[in-house]
Amino acid sequence: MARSAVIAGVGASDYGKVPDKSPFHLMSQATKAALDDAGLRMSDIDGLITTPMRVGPLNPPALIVARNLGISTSWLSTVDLAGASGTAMLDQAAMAVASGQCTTVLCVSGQNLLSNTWKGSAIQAMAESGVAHQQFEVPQGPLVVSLYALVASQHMARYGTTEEQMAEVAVAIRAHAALNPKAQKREPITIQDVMASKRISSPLKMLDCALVSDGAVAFIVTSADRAVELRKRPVKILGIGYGHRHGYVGETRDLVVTGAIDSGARAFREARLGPGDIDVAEIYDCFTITVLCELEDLGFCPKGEAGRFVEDGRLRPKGAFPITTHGGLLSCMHSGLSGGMMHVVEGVRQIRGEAGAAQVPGVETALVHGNGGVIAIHCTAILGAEHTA
Amino acid sequence: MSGQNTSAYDVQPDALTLPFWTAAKDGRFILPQCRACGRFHFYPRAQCPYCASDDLTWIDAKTGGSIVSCTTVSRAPAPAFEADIPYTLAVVETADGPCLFGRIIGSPNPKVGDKVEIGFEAAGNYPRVVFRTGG
Repeated sequence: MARSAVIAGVGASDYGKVPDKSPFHLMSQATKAALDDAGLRMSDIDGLITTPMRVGPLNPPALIVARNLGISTSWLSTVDLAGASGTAMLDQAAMAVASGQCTTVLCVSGQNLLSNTWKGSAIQAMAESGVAHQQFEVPQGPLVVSLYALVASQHMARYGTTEEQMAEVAVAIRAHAALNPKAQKREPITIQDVMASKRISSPLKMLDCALVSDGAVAFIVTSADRAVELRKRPVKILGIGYGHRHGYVGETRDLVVTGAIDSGARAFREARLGPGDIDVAEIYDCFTITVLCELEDLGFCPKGEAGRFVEDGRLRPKGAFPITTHGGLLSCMHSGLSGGMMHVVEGVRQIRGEAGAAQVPGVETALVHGNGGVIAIHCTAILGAEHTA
Repeated sequence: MSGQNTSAYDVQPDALTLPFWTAAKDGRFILPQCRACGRFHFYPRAQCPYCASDDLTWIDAKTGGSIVSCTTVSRAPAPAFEADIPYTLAVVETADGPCLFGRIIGSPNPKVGDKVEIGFEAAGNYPRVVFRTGG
């Protein structure tokens, strides 16, 4: 049985390289786009969820964002599950509506991650952001890329996965981005391009890695009753689940076995669906290896088989199983915690039939998956069209 | 090590981790063990991650291990690491069970599954964990 709250509107700010706009300017743009999409006004919002920023402190984030938007809400919260925040915000907004604390929750986050940082500092800041252990890992000099490279290296050794198979993920997601007029990177790439791109931390290369972007993303969750009167057909929330196993890469011998096993199983159980019922998957793609582990742990292919699963091109547009159809973090945008919110937005657009050239025909169910830390914290959401259970 | 900026190598021990770093200065590799359930764990915690007991002790650990995964870093995360490029980082499963993060020294081509010897080398204010390969 679906949640009593639904998604009524989605939107994004300008994104990519937006050097002239502050985080609050971007969040205002995204909020207005989501309100316009829903047919709601700013004064209709009585609940708010935002996230911390990485470019500067807000104390506390939900209050400062509310004041910048000029809204006085009866309920507000700040969520930080890193890259899993987008799907977690959806869950927590739905619970706030169901509890009666508020009727219409704005979920919004954004920052100028690309323009606000001097060259190189975004990488250093992320390396020191807490995803590596401050005493036992950071002083050894890992990039965030290195931490995911350890996952990739184990996947290759344990299952025979190749660098070319990982590259196929980047190629497929770039092909989706090429269909999205707003994506930050749209030029098609080949497996050879990925293989020849700059080596960062073996086996991962530049084109195995997500972008860094400016941008903000918003969506609005309201009650099913209220949504009936609004501009767009509501998108249902059929199930959401969380999962986590390790915290740091240095504490597990099973880097490639992730909490997505648990988050996916919990979301599918609530939705009373299985992987075979999903029409399109908007899967978190901070690195190409992330996608391979998620495809396995969410049950779309057997454990260890994702490399061979993807190499026939099935993830590409018009393929047997298109994923991350807006172009994802690898090619559309990655503005930090809000980057994973765009996967929610794309899931909604696919269900509504509004995904333009990237539209997958006949989408009734979409799985949206967020991952944070080093493939450590997972939140999976399953969305459905209005007539789905 | 360049020596010109070692602050990036430094660690700030706390009450839970200081025994590890102090022993490392003497070249000793020790691990926390739970006296209630007998299991080793790492990184150090206030309570056993398996049984939640806070009756913990430190034990001289076996220095053998095998590589769980490794990566060679080609781009420094901060200026202090540029002189070290390229360097290879690894997660190693120790003979006593817990995993450990550190740098590989020795073999130019370490592989997942290779046996290593856990040790320390000078770095910042405390030594860093290194894994010596046979090659």
